[in-house]
Amino acid sequence: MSFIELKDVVKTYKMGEIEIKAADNISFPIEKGEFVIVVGPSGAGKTTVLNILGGMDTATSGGIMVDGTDIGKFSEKELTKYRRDDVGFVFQFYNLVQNLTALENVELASQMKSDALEAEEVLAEVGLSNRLDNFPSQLSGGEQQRVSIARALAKNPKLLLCDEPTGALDYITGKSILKLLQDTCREKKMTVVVITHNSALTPMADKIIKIKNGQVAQILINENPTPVERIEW
Amino acid sequence: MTKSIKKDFGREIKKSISRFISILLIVVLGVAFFSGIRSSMPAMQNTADAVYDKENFMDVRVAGTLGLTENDLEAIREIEGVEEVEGAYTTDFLCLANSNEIVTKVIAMPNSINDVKVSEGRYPEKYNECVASKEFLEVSGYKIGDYVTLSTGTADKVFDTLAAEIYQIVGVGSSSYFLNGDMGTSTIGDGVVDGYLVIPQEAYVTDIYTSIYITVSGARELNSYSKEYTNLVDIVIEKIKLIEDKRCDIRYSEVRSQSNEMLEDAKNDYLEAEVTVQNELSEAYQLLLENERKYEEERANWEEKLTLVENAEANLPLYRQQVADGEIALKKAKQNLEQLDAEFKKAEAQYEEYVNDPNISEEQRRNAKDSMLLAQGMRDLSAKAFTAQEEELNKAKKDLADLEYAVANKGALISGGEELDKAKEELDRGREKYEIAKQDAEQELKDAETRLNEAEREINSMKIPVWYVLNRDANESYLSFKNDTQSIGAIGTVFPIIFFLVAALVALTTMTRMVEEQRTQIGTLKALGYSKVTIIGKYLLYAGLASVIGSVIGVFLGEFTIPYFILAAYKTAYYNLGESVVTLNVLYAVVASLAAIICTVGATLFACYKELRAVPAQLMRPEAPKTGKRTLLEHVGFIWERLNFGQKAAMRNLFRYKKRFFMTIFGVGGCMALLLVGLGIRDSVSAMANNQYGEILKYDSVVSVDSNLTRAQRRAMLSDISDISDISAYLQANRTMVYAQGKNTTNTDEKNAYMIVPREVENLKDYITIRERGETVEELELTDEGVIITEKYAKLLGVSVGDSIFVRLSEADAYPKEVKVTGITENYIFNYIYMTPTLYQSLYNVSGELNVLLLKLEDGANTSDVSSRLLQITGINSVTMNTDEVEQLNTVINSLYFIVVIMIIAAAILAFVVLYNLNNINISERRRELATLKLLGFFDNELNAYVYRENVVLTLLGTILGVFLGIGLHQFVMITVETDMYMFGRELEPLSIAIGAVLTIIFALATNLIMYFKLKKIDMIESLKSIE
Repeated sequence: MSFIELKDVVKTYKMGEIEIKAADNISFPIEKGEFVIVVGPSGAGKTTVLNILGGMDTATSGGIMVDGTDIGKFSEKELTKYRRDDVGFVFQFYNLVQNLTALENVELASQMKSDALEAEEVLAEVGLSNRLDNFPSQLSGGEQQRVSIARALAKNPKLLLCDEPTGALDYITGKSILKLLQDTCREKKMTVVVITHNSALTPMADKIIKIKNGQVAQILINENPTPVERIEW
Repeated sequence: MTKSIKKDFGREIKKSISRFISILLIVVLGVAFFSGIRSSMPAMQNTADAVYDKENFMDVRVAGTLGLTENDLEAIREIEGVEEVEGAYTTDFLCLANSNEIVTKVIAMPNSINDVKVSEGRYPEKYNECVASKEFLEVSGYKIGDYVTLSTGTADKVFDTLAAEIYQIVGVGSSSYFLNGDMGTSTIGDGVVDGYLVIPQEAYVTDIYTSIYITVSGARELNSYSKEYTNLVDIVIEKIKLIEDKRCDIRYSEVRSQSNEMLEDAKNDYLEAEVTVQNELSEAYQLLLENERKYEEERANWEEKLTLVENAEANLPLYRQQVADGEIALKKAKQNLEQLDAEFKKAEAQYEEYVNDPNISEEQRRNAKDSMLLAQGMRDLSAKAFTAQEEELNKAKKDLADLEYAVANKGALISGGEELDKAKEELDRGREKYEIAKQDAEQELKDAETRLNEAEREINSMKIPVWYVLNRDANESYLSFKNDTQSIGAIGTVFPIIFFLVAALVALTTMTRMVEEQRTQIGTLKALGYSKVTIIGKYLLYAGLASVIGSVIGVFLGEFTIPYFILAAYKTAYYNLGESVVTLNVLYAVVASLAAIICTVGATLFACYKELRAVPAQLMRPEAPKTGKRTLLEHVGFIWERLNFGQKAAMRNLFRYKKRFFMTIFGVGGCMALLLVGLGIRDSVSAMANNQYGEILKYDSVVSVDSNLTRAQRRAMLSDISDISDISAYLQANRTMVYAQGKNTTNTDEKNAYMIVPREVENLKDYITIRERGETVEELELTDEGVIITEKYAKLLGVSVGDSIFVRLSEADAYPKEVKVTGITENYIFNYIYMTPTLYQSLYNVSGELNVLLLKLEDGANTSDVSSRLLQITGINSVTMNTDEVEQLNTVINSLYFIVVIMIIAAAILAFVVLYNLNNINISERRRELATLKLLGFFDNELNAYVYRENVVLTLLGTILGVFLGIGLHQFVMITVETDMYMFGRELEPLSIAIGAVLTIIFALATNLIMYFKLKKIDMIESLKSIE
């Protein structure tokens, strides 16, 4: 049994009379400590996967096993607890609280959980030990994304879920963020799932899950992932 | 405007309907409140004016101290500007119902002025029928068909004034002369008028009017409360005053000559009576004397008779002996006579023999003749003696018979003596009776003489009458209603400011948010070449449309509901008001709408200003998020470090959005302030009553005393008062209505006040607390240096301690006296000047008449009982009980509850609109942040706390601001609403502040509860979407 396993996940939305199948029998496993990239064009069902995996939405049918528990059967409250304790989110637009400093934004997460990591340490790990007291607006996009990652890591989650983490960043900064994610995965044995439409990033992943029309088109296992520095797009 | 812009505008409203409604709602609120309360004053006035017009309420009332005559009426009728004149009769009577003594006014049914309308039953037709007022029926428990028996409560007779004593109630009536239950005071019974009866005019037997009612031409068309009305009536009043002196002189000489005539008649009657009485007395005396004399005579007679009888009784044997002796002597004399006769006859025979016998010598014959003649002489002598003896015996016999008769009648004589004794007793009683009758008659005459003297003195001391020419303000219910309308007017000027301020702030925040949200669109439109006017027009139109619709709704809602509510509330006290007259007040509608539109559109313009200055390129980029700022609190490390991130974020948010900050704290503050004013009005009025009657005035009653009492009468009166066990103490004082004006002040208005000069200065403090108002209570000392005046009065005159005032003892006093103000004392109801008797003496060279008594009662005394007992004492004119005043004030306080309710409703709406708006903006603006937090695993309550924390702090800040705002506003309102005669309490009760704060927080919590559902609906997926 894998660390994470999606089995025959179906998600249908009702838009008036019409039923839309956003996820149509999606199944894939993710091992602990794996760096996984879920890739596919817009509207393919990536976000649905993200939502279901992140505990933000429930599947219409199918099972979602995370560390031995089927979160597909969770109540709303249990889902909230799952998000709170087990998942770290990294957003495309960082989603920092503007009114809190970098440190405080991380504390926001760490204060939610008892076995959380020390906020300052985490920020030091993402290379921001000198920007602790800056507000988001005083930080560059890359720095903001680092705070966002630090916020996600501070909770010491089982899974780091990243939604287009480089989508709003320039090329170089984007690369450094991806490197940070890859390093975190390697060094901390963190399970990292990156969701992106950019297939150029796929070589850096351990596993690539290609989604198309709400179905898993292909699962590729990459025995030798390319370091981020060498990836070009 | 192009078609697409129009379409966009329509869709904009549809899309952001809650934003549109929030502007609309605050405008409705502001406009409704402003126009509603402002037009309540005219609505109240029009309602009262309509009743006054309908019932032909007098414009002027003239009353004279000696009554008014038909001639006075005619003289007034002649005055230019007088439309109608009518003489009126009103007298106070007592009537007993359910062992309750009721004081009732008895009013003659007017022909036209001050019409009485009958709501049940019918108008009185016969001289012994009446219509009763609602109050009378309530107090007495009588119904239509019952009979009322009147008494005067004084020595006068009912029939002196009225044709009947017993009246049948045939209907229930009311008059606009008494709009509420306050019918004033009386000099009889317990001194408070309980109700009134209306009787036909013919039931009044006097022809002297108690008042004359006048209507002024053209006054009916005017509003009673307008300046034009007052001016018009004032002219007529002045004209009436011009004829006052002349009419009063006439009336004076009329009454005087009438009285003198009556006095003269009475004097003549007296003299006549005196003569008659004296004559009668002397006749009676003569008779008495005559009878006595007769008696004496009879008595003497009787005594004589008695003596005679007694003598006779003693002499009876003697007489009897005499008779017996006489009889024996008579027998002897008879024998003697017979012997002598025989001897004579023998001698005669011898002689005859001798004569015839010639044988007998001459000698012999001569001897025989001589013997015969001798014998004849002897016999004649004896016969004479016999006759004498016989006569004597007969006499003696008669005498004896008489004596015997008299003795036999002695019993009758003795009983005759007893008769005489009785007659004597009778006579003695007669004398006694006579003496008593004489004393009585003399006493009566003396009394009559005293009365005559008294009457004469009264006539001599009779003053020239004065007229009271009074306008409607002198009518108690008119004045109190007028004051009430002004209070409402004053409230209407202040409160709407809060609403407009908040409306502007709401519009500003809402529109700012809207413009910020649409900056990309603005940029696009700008880039497409639309003019600034077109772009900005959308927003101005948006706010403008919301305001216009809001204004229209507000005007109709406000002007057609609030006045009805307020009138309905006031009608509970002024139950004789008729139909509410509520009309659309265009001025207030326009002013309110314009104010609202200017506030919102102005705020919108201000919100657009920044965006319009930016170039399109700038606008098309998302706005850089507002920089987080450090707050002052962060420098206080030990506090800041203890806060969690949510608290930190809340603190920073508070200061990040200044518009919202101000809007919220002004909104919540306004809510709190409204509550405080509402609650505070009650506090102030009840504080006024409590302070005045609980702390300032320590006496329980004021008794006004007839100033013409003699020393002896006064002593008697005071001892009668002391006999009432419920009265524990009293202070004699002089109380005069005086007129004063400050010296060296800009305020030259003359204001009236009661001047109180106590007989004993040192006792005054036991009856009235004289102290300066403030934190530390310090008693003031009344000295001969100057006067102490009450706080409100000092303010009215514009003087402070050390200043001087000019005092005139009456309106006619042409010599104002300057006195120094040595102290200003706390006081709430009426204005007073306190002066020592020494100072009064030195100012006026006389001491003031002690015309009032301040009474203190024992605890738990029955005031109406004391009151009616006092009024029975000769020399007491009227009694005013402080408990009655308090009761009256309490009804006013109770009628203020509705103001509290209106304030609470308005406050709740205000708090709701502002907080709803704030939450709405906060949530929509921070939708992403909240979605992120939700996604990060915040539980619902954590998320709520995160948002509410800010609201809570703002609510608390607003509440604190509201305390200050409320205290200030309350002060302002109370001072504005105050009349010259009153000073309301200035302080708010801590309880009211607590209630206000609790209500404010409850309103805030209720609003937040609605937000809870909005927050729940936030979709966390939104956090993943790109920034627009």
